[in-house]
Amino acid sequence: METVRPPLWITDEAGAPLLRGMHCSGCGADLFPPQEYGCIRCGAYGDRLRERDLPAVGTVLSFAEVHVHQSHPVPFTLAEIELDAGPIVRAALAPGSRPRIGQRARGLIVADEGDARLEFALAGEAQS
Amino acid sequence: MKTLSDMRPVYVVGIGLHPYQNRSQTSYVTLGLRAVREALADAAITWPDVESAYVGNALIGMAAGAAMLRYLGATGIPFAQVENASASGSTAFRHAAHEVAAGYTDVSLAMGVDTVDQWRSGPAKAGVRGLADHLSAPFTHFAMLTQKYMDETGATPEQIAKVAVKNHRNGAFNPYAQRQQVRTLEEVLAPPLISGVLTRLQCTPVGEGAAAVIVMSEEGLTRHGIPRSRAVQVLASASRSEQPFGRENGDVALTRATTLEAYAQASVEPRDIDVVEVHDAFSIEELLYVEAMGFCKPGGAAAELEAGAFDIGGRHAVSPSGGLIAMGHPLGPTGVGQVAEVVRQLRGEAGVRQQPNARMGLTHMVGIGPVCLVHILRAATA
Repeated sequence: METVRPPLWITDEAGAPLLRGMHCSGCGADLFPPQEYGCIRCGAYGDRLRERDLPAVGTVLSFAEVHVHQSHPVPFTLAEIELDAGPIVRAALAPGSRPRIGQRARGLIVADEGDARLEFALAGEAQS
Repeated sequence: MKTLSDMRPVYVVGIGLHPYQNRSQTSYVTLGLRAVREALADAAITWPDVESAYVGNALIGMAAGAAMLRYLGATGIPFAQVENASASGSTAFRHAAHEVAAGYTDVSLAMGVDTVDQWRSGPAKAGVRGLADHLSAPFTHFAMLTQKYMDETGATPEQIAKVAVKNHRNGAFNPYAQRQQVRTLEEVLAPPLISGVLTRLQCTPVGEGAAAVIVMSEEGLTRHGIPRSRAVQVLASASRSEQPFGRENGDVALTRATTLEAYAQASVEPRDIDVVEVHDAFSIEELLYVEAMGFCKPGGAAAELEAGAFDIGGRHAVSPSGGLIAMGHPLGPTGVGQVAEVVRQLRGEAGVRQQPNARMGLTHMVGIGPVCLVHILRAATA
């Protein structure tokens, strides 16, 4: 019974992904993921929450290679990334990534059997 | 704001458990009744002496507590089922203790019971989705924390696995534990890897079980002839939830804040605590939480654990029950089971698992929310 929501990202003119976040005019925070309920920092709601697209660029805070999953092929690597805009997000890293904490990472759109998904690629690693 | 220290004293006088075990065909009613009857027998009282009851569970469903307690003989007492994720049992205990401390009742029951059931996530119904929710799981959340801890402190995967070696060793001597087998470091490190460096034996098993405790006021002790020597006082009950903690892990920051509040309520310091039951669902958690609770310096837990500081017989016995890793984590019962273990230790009745001269104990649970509950208990004066 999940509410149907728009995609979590779009692309800019150059094809780079932007995360569909929010800006709170109550406390000035940029927030992700988007929601219309209220700001978890200050409680502002309604008109004080506006959509704001956030560059999918940030720094790796941690990561884990996952070996057990009920539906997704393993292994894959999940990372916690602090966006330059502030929010901390979890995202899949591009296959073959060998991350270290503190490394820069950037969102990347990957075609996936007629669909497209967002992964993060590490600075200095070849993009698949 | 009032705390337990401002109210009349409250004591745990009876403890009981149904062993934590792998999923079986046993009814939750059978699990729960065994724990309650054992707690009543331990306190040497009968069910009609109990004036209110709180039943913690996370999975069974609406009104499960009512459909269980009636088989003790329906006495008409007020009761409520309590759900607070992994901290459901701890929350049931807090409410029972507060009810007695406030003078509403002299004898109350707190218990937890759960079976392995379908997990229906409340938060998912809010419909707020992140980029990779479908790829994440609790073990991956804690695998990422493990990676971060290794990066920041230089701790090795072997040092982290030693948490599980210690807790399996403790659980091996606990007849209520789901895992009752001593494990070597090699066994703990052996594949399969689950996520990051975490192996199967460093993750809590999913299981079923029940735990129950009876709490009483001074009046209750007198009325029911409870020996003072077996009454363990609840000195502090602290409960906190999410705040914007920034980059620090929420469970760790929340543990620090909640534990500090409990220390202040009880007017004690970390060095006063002899026995600790922590939420060690994953090996890394024990290291993070004992640091946050002030039982060693930040970043020092892996080396301290290796040196035996957290063994039974060490400076603080951490998870002498075997903790969530070995005793198990059937959700509803877990927080109440921690209280039962600490009471057993503070009575000096823990047998081969006994921490010598245990005078004060602390229980700690975190749960999805995040929420955190910490209780501090003190042995009867000799």
